[in-house]
Amino acid sequence: MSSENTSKHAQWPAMLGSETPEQQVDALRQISGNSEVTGLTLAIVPMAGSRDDDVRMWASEVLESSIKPHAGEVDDLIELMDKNDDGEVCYWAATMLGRLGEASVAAVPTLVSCMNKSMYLPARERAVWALAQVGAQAVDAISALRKVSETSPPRLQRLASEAINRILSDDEAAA
Amino acid sequence: MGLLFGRKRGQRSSRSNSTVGNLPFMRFLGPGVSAGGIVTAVFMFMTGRVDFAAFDLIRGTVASAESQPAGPLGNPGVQGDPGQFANSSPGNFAPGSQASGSLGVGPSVQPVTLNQLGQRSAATIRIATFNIQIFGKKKMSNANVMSVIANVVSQFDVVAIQEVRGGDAAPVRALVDLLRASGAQYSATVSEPIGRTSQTESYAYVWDDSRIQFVPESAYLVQDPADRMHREPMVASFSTRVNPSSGRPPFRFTLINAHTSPSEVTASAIGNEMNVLDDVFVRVREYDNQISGEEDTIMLGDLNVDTRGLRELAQIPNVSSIAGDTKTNTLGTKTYDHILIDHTMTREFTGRYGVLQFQSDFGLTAEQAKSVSDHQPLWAEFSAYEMPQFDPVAGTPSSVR
Repeated sequence: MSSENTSKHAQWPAMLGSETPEQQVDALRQISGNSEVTGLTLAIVPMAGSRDDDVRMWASEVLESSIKPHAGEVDDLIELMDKNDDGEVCYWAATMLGRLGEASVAAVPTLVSCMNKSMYLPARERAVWALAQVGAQAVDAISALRKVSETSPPRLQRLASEAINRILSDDEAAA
Repeated sequence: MGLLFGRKRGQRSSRSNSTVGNLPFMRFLGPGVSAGGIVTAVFMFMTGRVDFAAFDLIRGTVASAESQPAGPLGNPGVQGDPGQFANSSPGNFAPGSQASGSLGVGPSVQPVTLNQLGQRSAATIRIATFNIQIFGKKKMSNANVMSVIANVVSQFDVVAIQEVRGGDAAPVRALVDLLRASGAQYSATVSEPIGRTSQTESYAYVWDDSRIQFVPESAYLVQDPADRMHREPMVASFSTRVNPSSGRPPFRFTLINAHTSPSEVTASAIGNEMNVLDDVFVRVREYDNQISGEEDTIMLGDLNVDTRGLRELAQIPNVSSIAGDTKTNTLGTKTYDHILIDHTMTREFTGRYGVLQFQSDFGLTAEQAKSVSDHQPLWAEFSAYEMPQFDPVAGTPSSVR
C-alpha cells in the first residue's frame, strides 16, 4: 500500500464523522472499490439511514461490497439494532452480523426481535438470513423461526425454513 | 416454484416512492404478458418444466477455458450496414424514435472525441459487461466521467450495464445522447429499478445501431415469483447487421444481464443466488429456443464471485466463464464479472476476450479511473455470422490482454 493510500485511509474516520454530506460521500467513494475494509462498520451502517440521498446510496454500496466487520463490533451492532427503528440501518446491521457468522451468537435475541417486529420486510428477511449464518449457536431461535416459517410472507417463510435446517444440521454436525 | 418471464415484482421499500408504472420508458411487457408467453408459461407449469428441482439435477462437465495469447484488439474494419433503428419500444432511446421517452440529441450536448483502440471488424462483434458503479445523476453530470464512459462503450457493439441509479434512466439517456452527438449510433434499453431495499438499480443494454439490431419486444426482467434473487436478471435479444450479399445469416443471440448480491453468493449463504442463475440460464435458453429456434444464450454481468463461486451455474453441461478468473475490478485484484456461454452451442465465440483497462488505455490516474467505476469492462468477441450448429471448428478461448 502506498503512503498516499495509507494517509487517505487514515482520513476516512474523520471524513465519515463529518457533518457535511459531501465529506461523507467523498470518504465513501474512496472506500468503495476496496475490499474487506475493516474498522469502519459502525461508522457506516448508520449512514444507510441518512437523510441525504447520496450518503445513503454510497453507504449501501460500500456496505454491500467493501466492508468486512470484525467480532469486536458485535456488541455495538446489537445496540445499534436495538435502538434504531430505521429499516435500512437494521437491514445492514443484520447483514454485518450475518457476515460474522457464529461470532454473532450474542445477537440472536436482537435478530429474533428484528425478525418478529421490524416494519421493514427486507430487514426481517435479512435477520433470518443472519440467524442462519450464526448456525448451531442460534438454536434458541428455532421456535421463533418455526412461527415465521408458518405465517409470514412467502420469501420470509422459505428463508425461515432454510434457516431452521441450517441451524439444526449444524447442531447435529457439532454433536 | 416457478420461474416465468415478465414483470418483476413491485419494489418494496421502507422509504422510496413507487415509481414503477410512472416511467414511460419502461417496457417489460414482452414474453411475460404476450399471449405466447402466457401459453408457454402455462404449458411449462403443466408439464413440470418450471420445476427448479429438475434443474438442480443438471450436472455435467465444465468446459475448460485455457487462456492463450492472441492478437491485438480489432481487425480491419468494414462499415456495418446502417439500417433502420431497431428500437420501437418505450424502453429504448434513439433520436427519431416515436416511442415515448425517446430522445434526440440535445443542443446542449457537447460532443467528445471517441478514440477507437482498434478497428472494428465486419466479421466479428464485441459484447461487453460493465458495472458502472452508481451510474446516477452525479456521474451523469460529470463531463469527464461521461467522456470516459462514452469512450469505453464505443469500443463495443453491445454493452450490458449494471448499477444504473435514480429510477428514471437519465444517465443512460445522457450516455446515448453523448455517443450520438459524438458521431456514434448507439441506442439503449433500460429495465425498471429492482432490488429488495430502497437502494434499487436498473440494468441497461446499449448497442451500436449500425452493427447490431435489437430484437423488438425481446427485453424483459426474469420473473421470480418465489423471490429467490436479489435483482432479477434482464434478458434481451439481438442480431448482427450483416451485408445481405454475404449470403450468410446474422448471429442472433440472447443476453442475460445479471448483478448478484455479494451476501447472497457466499459459500455459506442460504438460497445462494448462483444456484438460481443456472435455472435462469437454462430456462431462458429453452424459452428462446421455443420462440425463435435459437440457442445462443450468453449470461454476463457482475456476479461477485470468482469461478469457484459459480457453483451450479458452472455445472450446466458445457457452460463456463469465458474469462475464468480474470481480474475485473479497477484495482486489478478481484474477479467479479463474467461472460458465460455454452461452448457447444455458441460456436460464434472466436476465442478472444479481455478486460478493457480504461485507466491505462485512456491515460487516467487511479483516482480518475475510480471516479468512473470500481469495475472494468469485460468483453468477448463473436462471429457476426451464425455458425452452423455442428461446425467442428470451435473457438479456443484466448486472452488478448
